[in-house]
Amino acid sequence: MENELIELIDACKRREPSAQRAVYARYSSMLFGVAMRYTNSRSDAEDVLQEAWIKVFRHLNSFSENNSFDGWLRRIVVNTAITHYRRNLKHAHHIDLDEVHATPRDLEAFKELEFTKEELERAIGQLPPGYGMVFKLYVIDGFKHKEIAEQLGIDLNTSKSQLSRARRFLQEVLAGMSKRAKEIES
Amino acid sequence: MSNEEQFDDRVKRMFQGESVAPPANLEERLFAQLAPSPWPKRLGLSMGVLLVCGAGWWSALSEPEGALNVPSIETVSDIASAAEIVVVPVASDEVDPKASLESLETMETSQVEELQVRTEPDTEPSTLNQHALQSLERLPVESIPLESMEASTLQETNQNQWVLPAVVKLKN
Repeated sequence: MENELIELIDACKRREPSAQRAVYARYSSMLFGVAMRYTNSRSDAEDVLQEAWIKVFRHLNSFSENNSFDGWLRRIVVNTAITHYRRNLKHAHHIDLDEVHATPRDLEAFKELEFTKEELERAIGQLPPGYGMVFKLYVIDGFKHKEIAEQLGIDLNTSKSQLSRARRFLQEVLAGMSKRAKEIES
Repeated sequence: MSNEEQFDDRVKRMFQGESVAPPANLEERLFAQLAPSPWPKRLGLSMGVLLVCGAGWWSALSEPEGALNVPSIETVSDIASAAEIVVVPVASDEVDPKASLESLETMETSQVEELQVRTEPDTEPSTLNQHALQSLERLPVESIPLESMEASTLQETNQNQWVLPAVVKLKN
C-alpha cells in the first residue's frame, strides 16, 4: 500500500475531516458504481453509499494495512447493500426463475455471443432479485456460496442452483439481444 | 477453463473499474452526519450528565451513617435473616427462645403492622433496614433455662453469642 494512502488512512483514524474528504473524493465514484449495481434506483444507491461511508469512518480502526483498502471498502458497500436488500425483501414479490424461463440452453453456444456491458446490465436487471444478488455476489464480487448463503439467509444448495439458473437465463437473454441486433444490421 | 468459468471471467472483466459519480450533495449530507454535534447540544448533554451525577452524589451523602452497610430487607423472610445480624451477647443460661417466640406472637398489633409495612418493597432499603432493626431491638426478650433450648430455634454463632431468629406471624 502506498505511503500517501497509509498516511491518509491514519489521519482518518484520527477523525481529521480533511483526510476523510480526501478519501471520499478518491473512492466515492468506484463505490457508487458498486452501490448502483446492487440497488434498483439511484436514490437507493445514494442511501447505501452514505450508510457505507459512515460505517467506513466509524470502523476504520478495524482496518489492517496488510489488506487491500479498495477491497475493504467494496466489501462494506456490498454488505450494506445486502442489508438494504434484505430489509426491502419482505415487500418484494418472489419470482422463481423457472417461471420466467423454462428452457435451458447449452453454454457452448454462449462463447460465440457478442454483447456489451450495457446489454449485460440489462440482462442482469431482468433476473429475479434473489437470482441477481447471487449472480452478482458470486461472479462479480467473488463471494463463495457459503458466504452468500449466510449473507442472504438461504440454503447453500439454493445459492448454487440459483447461480446456475441465472447463468442460463442470461445466456438466453443475451442470445436474443444478439439475434435482434444482427437482424437490424442486415 | 470450463464454459461457466469463461463466462464468469468475461462478466467480471466487464465490471472491473466500474465508476459512477455520486451526486454532489451526498458529500455534504455525509459530512454533516459525521460532524460532531453543535455546542449547545453538547452543552445540554454535559449539563444533563452533571445533574444526574450530582443528584446521585447528593443522595449518597444524605444517607444516614452506616445505613449503606446494612443489607436490604424486602420480605418477611429477610427479616429473619436480618435478625441473625443482631447478635445479642447474653449468658448462655439466660436464653429462652420459646418465651421469645411467644412474645413475638403476642406482640401488639401496632408493632405487627409496623413490621408489615416495613416488609413492603421500598425504594429506600437502607432506611427500611434501620427501622426494621430498631423494631427488632424493641422486641421483649425473656430468658429461659438453657436445657429447654431447641436447636432449631436457637443458634450459636460463636462463644457466648446467640442468635434469635425472628418468626413473625401477621394477623389481620
